[in-house]
Amino acid sequence: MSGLSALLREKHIRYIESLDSKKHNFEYWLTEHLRLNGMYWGLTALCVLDSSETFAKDEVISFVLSCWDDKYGAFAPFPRHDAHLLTTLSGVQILATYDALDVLGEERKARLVAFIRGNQLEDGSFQGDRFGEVDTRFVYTALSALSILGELTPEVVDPAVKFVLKCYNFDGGFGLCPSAESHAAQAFTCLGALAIANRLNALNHDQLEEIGWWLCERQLPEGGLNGRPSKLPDVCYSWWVLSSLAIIDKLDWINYEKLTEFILNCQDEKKGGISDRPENEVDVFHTVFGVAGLSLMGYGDLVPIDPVYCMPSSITAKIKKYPYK
Amino acid sequence: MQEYDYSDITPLPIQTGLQDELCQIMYTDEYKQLMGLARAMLSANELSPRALQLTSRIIDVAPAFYTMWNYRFNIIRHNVAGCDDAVSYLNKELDWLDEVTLNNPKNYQIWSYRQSLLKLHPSPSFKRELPVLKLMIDDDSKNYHVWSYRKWCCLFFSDFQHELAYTNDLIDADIYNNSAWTHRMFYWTNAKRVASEVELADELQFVLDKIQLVPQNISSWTYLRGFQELAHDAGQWNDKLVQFATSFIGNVFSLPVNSPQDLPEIESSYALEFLAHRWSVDSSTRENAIRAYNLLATKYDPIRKNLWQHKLKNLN
Repeated sequence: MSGLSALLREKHIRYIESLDSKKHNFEYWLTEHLRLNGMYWGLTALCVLDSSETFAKDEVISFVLSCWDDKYGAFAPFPRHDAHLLTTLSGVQILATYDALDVLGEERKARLVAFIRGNQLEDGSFQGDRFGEVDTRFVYTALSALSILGELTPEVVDPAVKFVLKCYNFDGGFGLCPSAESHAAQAFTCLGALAIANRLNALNHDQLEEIGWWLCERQLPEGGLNGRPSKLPDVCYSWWVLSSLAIIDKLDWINYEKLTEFILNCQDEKKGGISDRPENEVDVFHTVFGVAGLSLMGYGDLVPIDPVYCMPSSITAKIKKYPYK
Repeated sequence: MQEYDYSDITPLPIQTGLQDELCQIMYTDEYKQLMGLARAMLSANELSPRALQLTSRIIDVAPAFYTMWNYRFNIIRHNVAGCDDAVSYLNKELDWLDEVTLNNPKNYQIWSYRQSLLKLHPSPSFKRELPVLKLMIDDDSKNYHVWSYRKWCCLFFSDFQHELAYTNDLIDADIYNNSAWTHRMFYWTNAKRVASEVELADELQFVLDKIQLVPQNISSWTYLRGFQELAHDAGQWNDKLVQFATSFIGNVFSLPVNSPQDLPEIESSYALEFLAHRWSVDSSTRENAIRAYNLLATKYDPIRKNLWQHKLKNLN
């Protein structure tokens, strides 16, 4: 361990800034299918680091719009790819973060809402696109995007809540679909979906205690968090686990000091960025979830982040709370 | 691999005008050519064998490019409809998919594609799936997608006959494998039959034996708790389990409390946790519960000190 004791804020900003200039890099274009998500991760990390102006706002918005898939009426990760729920949420999040949802216009917004609703299945779950992959990630994605757009309805929310509750497991965790193994990322998607639906009260006191126990059980003696029992720690769970605990108001069941130490030790002190574990290669995904986790723990003067939406709290404060009056 | 002629296709470039500022990318020539062809054929919705082969080549380079998987499924679905022998056609596709699966253990798209193929197949078989699933789990015994897919198969085929023996093998190979333990719980909750008293007692003995073997294992203790609930144990196992758990905490209950750092190591903090929980539900054992939570907070699981203090506060 390199024993880093402070957040290398400037380095991380420069690292995220540099990502976009790596267009000549082979890996960069092999990840076209994640580009819009990557843009959201980078922008959110910059917001938490209080440096949102590092990206050129107009260019980012143009890029988001260029990912519009006009055939299906939603966002793809990259021009001429297929629209998908995951990237649709990223597009909506970026626009909302820039307070620029208006650029969608009424027609596009209506199509986008129809796309999301159209991917809900009879049991309340959502498929990521018309090809039917089902995952609690997509329930969260759908509800979050509709919520940001102020377009939730009981017809969508009620069956979705029912489905999410079916993914709760005997051990206090949540799985990718009913009866799948509990996984920390799925705890976030399920609890986040319930929070957006304002239905956390569907979980009783004992269940909330169990969920809190399962989540804080993810912390290993060295401080980092894992995603499932007996797995290695990984910085991204600093987000999935902490945000989940924050949502059920049990954030302090984690040892902050130890986790902070673990995240800081995953920084690359030369080029900036945060990796999954100490000494590994950094990437934008672990960078955003590392700094977002630190923000939830109130580290330094990081900008507060909303555990439900993974966007700056100042932005999400403007989202209409469901059920709408 | 058969060679197809694509010379009549005019590749579609990727530039759209809007993205030039942000996303001008230097492509390698081969990939650029493949993608250009694919975009052109996709927008013409060509569903031919050569289009199928092109998707193979692209998936080979960029396996997570889900647009290509979607395109490929359209091609397959189209060709099955006009095919004399849908079974062999789909089996051939499954053979191709097995290969891709083995080369891409972390890929998401493969599994829903596989489900779609089985749903399309006139006579799908769980048995055909078992070897590739086994190879995948041999390679990574906690692969989330493979386990989830296996569960999907059990439910799709209503077939649970292999599951208990399979988890036996995996737990024998790695007793910490949480995926195998939760799969075992999946078996008991979904096999849709009522377990007999004898089966329940055997299963209880199974988990106690595994804990005895490795007492500090979160998965087996969580399974024990879950299984007890599932078996609707109304307390007849209680004394036995308390006695069992007590055997892993040495004599910490008879030592003075004042200096936690001097306390001896115990075999299992999960045993202490199990006891604390058990004792906390009954007022006659409340004092023991307080003692146990204090021991967890100060000595045996201090990283979760706040959780244990919360439990203590609830007791008071």
